[in-house]
Amino acid sequence: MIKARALSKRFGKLLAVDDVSLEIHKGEALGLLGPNGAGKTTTISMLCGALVPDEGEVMLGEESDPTRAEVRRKIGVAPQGLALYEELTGEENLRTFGALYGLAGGHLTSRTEHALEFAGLSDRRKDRVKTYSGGMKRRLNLACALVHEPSVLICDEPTVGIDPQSRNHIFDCIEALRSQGTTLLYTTHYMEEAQRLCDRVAIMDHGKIMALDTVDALIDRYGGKSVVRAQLAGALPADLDLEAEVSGDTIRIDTDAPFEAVARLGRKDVAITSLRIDRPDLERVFLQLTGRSLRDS
Amino acid sequence: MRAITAIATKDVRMLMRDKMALFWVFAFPLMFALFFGSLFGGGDDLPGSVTIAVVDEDGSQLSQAFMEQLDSNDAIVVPRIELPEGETGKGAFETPTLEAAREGVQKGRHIAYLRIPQGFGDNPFAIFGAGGDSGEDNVSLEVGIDPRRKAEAGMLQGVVIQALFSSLQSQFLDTELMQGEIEEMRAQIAAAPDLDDGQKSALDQFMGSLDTFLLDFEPGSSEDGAAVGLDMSQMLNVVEVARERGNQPRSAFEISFPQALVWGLMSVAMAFAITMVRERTSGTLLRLQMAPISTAQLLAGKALACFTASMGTMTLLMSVAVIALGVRFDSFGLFLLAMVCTALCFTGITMLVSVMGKTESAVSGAAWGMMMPFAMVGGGMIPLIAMPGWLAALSDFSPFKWAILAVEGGLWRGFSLAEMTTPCLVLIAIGVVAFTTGAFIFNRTKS
Repeated sequence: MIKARALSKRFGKLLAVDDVSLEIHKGEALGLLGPNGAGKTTTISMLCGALVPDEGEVMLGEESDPTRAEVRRKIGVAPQGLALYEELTGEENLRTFGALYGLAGGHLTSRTEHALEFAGLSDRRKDRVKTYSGGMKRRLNLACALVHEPSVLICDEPTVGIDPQSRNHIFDCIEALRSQGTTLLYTTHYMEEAQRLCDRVAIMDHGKIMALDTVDALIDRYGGKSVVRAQLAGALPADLDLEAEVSGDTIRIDTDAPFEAVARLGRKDVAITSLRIDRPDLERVFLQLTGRSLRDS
Repeated sequence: MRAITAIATKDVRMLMRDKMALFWVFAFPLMFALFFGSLFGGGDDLPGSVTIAVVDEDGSQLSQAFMEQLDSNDAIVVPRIELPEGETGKGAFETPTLEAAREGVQKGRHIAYLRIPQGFGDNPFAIFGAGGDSGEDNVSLEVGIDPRRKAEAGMLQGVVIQALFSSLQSQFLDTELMQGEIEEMRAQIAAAPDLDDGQKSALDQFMGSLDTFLLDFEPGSSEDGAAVGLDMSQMLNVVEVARERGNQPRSAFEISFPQALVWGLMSVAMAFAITMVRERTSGTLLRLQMAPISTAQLLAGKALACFTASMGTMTLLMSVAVIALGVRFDSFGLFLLAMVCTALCFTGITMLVSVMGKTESAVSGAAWGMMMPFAMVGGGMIPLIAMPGWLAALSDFSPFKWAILAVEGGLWRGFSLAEMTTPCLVLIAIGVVAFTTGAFIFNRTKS
């Protein structure tokens, strides 16, 4: 559906995107996971034609020019910033953007109704956007990208700075869209969002894609072993037969089979006051690939 | 086209909801027009002082006295000849020909003219119909005035009659003058060959009695001809002289409202220039750029919004002027043409101003810095009609001057289509150059 080949974009001396290639299949959800400044927004701007790449090319279906009106009508973009007209009502915002995508008459009205329901804003349709909460604005921001019924949805960090309730509403909406077969490109720096919503994830940093695969495959390849940490109530038996680091009354076991390690501790009657298992996740994948934590970036 | 109208509708709607912008776009220009229009004479040039041209075909002492009487009335001004350098005091009155005076009324230089016919001073009684049975020697004063100036005409007739009586009374009360006249008449009676001695004696006795009467006469209170049963219609012959429309404003509002229009348009330009930057800073420009519309469509939508708002502002302001203040158009068609050209010009200026900065405050500051000097020298403060020569020459470089000139051209300057061509072409040229430059810069910096 979307194919990017060797995309590069430079702003002055800053190489924002460096030789990025990726492919998103029809109906697939691809996550772009990376810290702020990784080049995610620049990449999606080139994918939807808002920016012209210095090098490389983008293909949307059979089209090689994403600036063509026919191509853009297939794409919906929810920008990272709240791209809304605060002096207009929610309904007027939707009707304006719908009209820009060629909708008119009854079709525009029905699509506007649908988008308002989708965003849970039907009862606030006549209120000006400036009176909305942050979460409502985020939902409307997403609804404006969907009003023209695109087959490809690009969401640039759609959950930044909102309450958990609105975040869950957005997740539910996106999952509903996925079930309808909408192709999704989703950028975020929250790994749990990428894990929940995306079939595949591209780890991005410093303008480059460090790795791209399914979540499980990335974790298998780059996540390392699970870590079992236990606080001991007594001494360890001499015949434990586990590779473990002991520091005071705490034991740490790095293993591919954490439950087996815990079972073995039980079989040896090791007295434990507390137990914690850390399975590898995308955070560990990011740490492994970039040498730094995603949350610290 | 749907996308263009969607952008324009959105922008106009947002302007309508911005109370502060609305104040500057509509309320402030209206207050400006009302304040300065009222300050400089208000709704009509009713006689605080009515300037009249006096055609003195008589040139007598009495006619001079009559003119002095007219000029001494606060309601009337009779133009005087400028005194030579060094001389002080009152100068002589201007005495144009009848044709020149008539043209002055037609062109609006004078409210009316007054003609004092030859023979007025020879026989002051002739004006009361005392020229004999044949009436050949009867004289009457002629007042020429636009028939639409009914109020001024009525006032003028009263003032003229009052001045006439006052000047005649002065003549009668000038005992030296009248005694001289009587002595001259007694000599003429004595020398008259067709009178017998009896007739000469009776007339001489009568003239002597008149001399005595004048010496004893005390001025009475009756200065009104009607009070002594005189028919004023015989004394005054009112001639209708239609004023040619189109070269003088009929009221101060016809000057202040064109000025107000350009102040309103300047505010429209400011408001839309800022919304253009706001699109960029709020991220909506990115959404517009990602929509299936071209940059040309985007700019066309913006331009349509600005043009519509400009036309709306001018229409609203002029509606107030026409409905509430009686402002009239010399040519509505040409006024409409001026409005369209002016709106096009300011639409172009808006585009240029919108790319003069990357933030709202930068654009706002740059716009004020650029437009205020143009407004000041272009007739925004000092009316074009009252500009000194050097400022008038300087104003040629200001789009405000051409906008005001075009609007005034349709309103009261009486421009023909050919005369309207110059300001309209200048406005369109400024608009096109400014818009093209702005669009070029926008295109280069939109990313």
